[in-house]
Amino acid sequence: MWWRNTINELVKIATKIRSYIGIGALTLLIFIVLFAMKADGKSYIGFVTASFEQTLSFNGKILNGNLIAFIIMQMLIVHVPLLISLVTGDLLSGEEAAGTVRMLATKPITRTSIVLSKWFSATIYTLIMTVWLGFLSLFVAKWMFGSGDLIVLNSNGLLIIPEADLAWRFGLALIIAFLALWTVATLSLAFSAFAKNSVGPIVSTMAVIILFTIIGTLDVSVFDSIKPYMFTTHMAAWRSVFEDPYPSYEILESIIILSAHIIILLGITILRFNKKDITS
Amino acid sequence: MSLIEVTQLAKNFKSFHAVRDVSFHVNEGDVFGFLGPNGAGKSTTIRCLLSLIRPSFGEIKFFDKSLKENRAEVLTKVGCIIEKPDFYKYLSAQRNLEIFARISGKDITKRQIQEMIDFVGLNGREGDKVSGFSHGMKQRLGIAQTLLHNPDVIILDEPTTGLDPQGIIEVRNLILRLRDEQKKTVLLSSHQLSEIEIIANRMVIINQGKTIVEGEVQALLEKQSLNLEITVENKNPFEGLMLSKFPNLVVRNVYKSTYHVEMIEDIRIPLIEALVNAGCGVKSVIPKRSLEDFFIKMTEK
Amino acid sequence: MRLIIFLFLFITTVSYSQTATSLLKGVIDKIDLVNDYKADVQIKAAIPFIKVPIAKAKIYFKKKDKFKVESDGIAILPKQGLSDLTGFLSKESNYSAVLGEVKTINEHKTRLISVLPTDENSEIILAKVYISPTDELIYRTVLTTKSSGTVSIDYEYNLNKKYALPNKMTFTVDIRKFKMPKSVASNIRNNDKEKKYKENEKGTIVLIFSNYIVNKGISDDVFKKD
Repeated sequence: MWWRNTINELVKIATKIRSYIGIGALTLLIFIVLFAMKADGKSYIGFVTASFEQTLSFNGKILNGNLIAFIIMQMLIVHVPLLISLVTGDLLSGEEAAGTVRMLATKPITRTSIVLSKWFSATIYTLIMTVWLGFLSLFVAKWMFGSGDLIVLNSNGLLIIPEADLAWRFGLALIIAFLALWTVATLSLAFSAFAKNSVGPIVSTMAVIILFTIIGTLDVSVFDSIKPYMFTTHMAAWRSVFEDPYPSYEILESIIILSAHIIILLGITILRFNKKDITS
Repeated sequence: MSLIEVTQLAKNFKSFHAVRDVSFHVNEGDVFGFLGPNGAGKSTTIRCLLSLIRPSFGEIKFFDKSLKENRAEVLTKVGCIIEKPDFYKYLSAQRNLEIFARISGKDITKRQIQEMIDFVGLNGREGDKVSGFSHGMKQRLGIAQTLLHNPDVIILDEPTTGLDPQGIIEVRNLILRLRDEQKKTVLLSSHQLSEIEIIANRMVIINQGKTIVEGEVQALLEKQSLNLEITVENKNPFEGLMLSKFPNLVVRNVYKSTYHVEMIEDIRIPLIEALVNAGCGVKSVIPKRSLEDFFIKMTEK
Repeated sequence: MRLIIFLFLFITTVSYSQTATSLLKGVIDKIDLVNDYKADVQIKAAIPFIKVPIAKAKIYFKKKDKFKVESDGIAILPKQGLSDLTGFLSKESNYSAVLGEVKTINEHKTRLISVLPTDENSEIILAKVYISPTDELIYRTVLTTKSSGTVSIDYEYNLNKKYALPNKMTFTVDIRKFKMPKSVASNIRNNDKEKKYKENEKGTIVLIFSNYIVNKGISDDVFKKD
């Protein structure tokens, strides 16, 4: 039965205007970056290589589609989570606000199945956003800027990754990025189970991301014990794929932490929705 | 056979006891009136029946099976409208029905959906978004959604709210058809007591979260005292006469010079003669043995 | 007596100067034989805080000062010493040369020639050139420039000695002026494994040349900017 309701949820997502607001905003954002880099990308490169240019000269195609793709993926940290929570934060609370939760909950489908089908459809929406992000940032950027080696500025220094070594890295980075966004989607769905309208879950999700991000960047020892377990610490784990050698243990750790968050948040959502008295 | 059996149902919301002790049963083929004043616990009880609310105590059975343990099986055979039917406004009527059909527990074809749309009189509007529907059209769509999976039991909570008189008649006729032609069992909660009186054969009245009375509608009405609605020209002689000559009668002034007089024995003739002789100027005498009066009497206690 | 000593010193100095100039001229004459060349180059950089794979590129040169590097990937090259030195040395009026010590570099006996630019606006402050008198080839240059600090370049030759075109150049650069900028989008995860670089740390860039094609003609279009 949950699969049938998943079809329902996908139909609802596909016919809601707000679903396309997210995709449209992402597309617009990426094209703005592409346009900006086309217009003035060289000065951006200069900023990255400035410290070295007194003694060294960088030859070759630094400003290429792979670098642009890397820059665009940086947006995953703040912008795309907001666009995703616009849709996923509405999945349960939107039904409550519209009154359709009454119709839904009187059907012979368990509340757990309702939550699972909404979560699964949220997963698919998140996947679509991630794939779209990947397509625009990799293929469209490459079409506009061509291909080439990737120059990455890490905390360890400057790393140049040959073009032949990039396909699997971008693939793995997108998978990890999807996992991070999936965590955000599940978080906003969890908030949605507690709210009676969509604004609360969306704002709460962004507030949590911003707050945890700030805590993560504060160099205060009192937070050191919790930082490794905050999901925002691992939201940028995809960047670790672009290190050499790439830290497989740290990446695996991030995957585990993010997966644990998803499972726990989903469990909370199911528990909450099962116990809820629907009085609206 | 009881299709619905509610036993000692109770529901507490923190410190508020919405339902304290409600028990009733609904037989197969009944049109069952579920009555109570505002705040009596009707909505809470109905939501417990439909598993929207988890009871604090008590048992609910459908088809002799516990609702708690057989929820999916039970709800496959139950259709409902709770208050106003809400739909996905951004979807068409057809799409809305398809969505609910998918999770109804039965395989419902597009043809069946179209037939239901035709049945409720929405043919030609199935492709229109629900956001453009009037209240009456939404109510019809709600009925379509309720009947789509051919349930055995139909629960209707205030189905005529907001409808014009024509709409009310249509709903009444539909319920009668469901009972007579399709042998459905209907549990109907409504404030339209006159409608309940016409279409319901059994009923329960609850108040302050408790069952007050349950039984056949006509049998209950016949047991109650005869009421007369008397309108007079002169209030003072009327009131004086009632106090002096008929102190055992219960008299209520309902409006200006109109009174309800309640009597156990039928003493209409001596009463009217006395009123005329006293110069009250009797304008009308209307006998009443109505559900409304019965309801007021039951819920005033 | 004093006159004899003075004349002796004068003649010695003049003859030394002539030797420095003639040594340089020997090299410059070889360089002048080259109107144009192109070659494949493999670039291997070992610089602190920079991790770059071995890059392959093509180098083009055309008299007097047209120079281009074409690489498929990103190649890091030293800013000074690759093409500018020979151009500087080819004009005698640009500098004065002083003969210095004898030094053996990679089994080659060389003579130090200190080259001082005459133009105070010159980017090069001092160039120490180690030339082998035997084969009139430069085996080491230590270049001090205004903007890039000191760059040391070792040369090895193989097939193109007559043109003074090396098959291997090893650049040693001074990285004390490097500053690590903060990441453009900093890692949320604080990486406390950040290394601190030491003062006066060095980095090396090795260029291995092959497939020289000399004086076969190169179109000016090759040197147009993309």
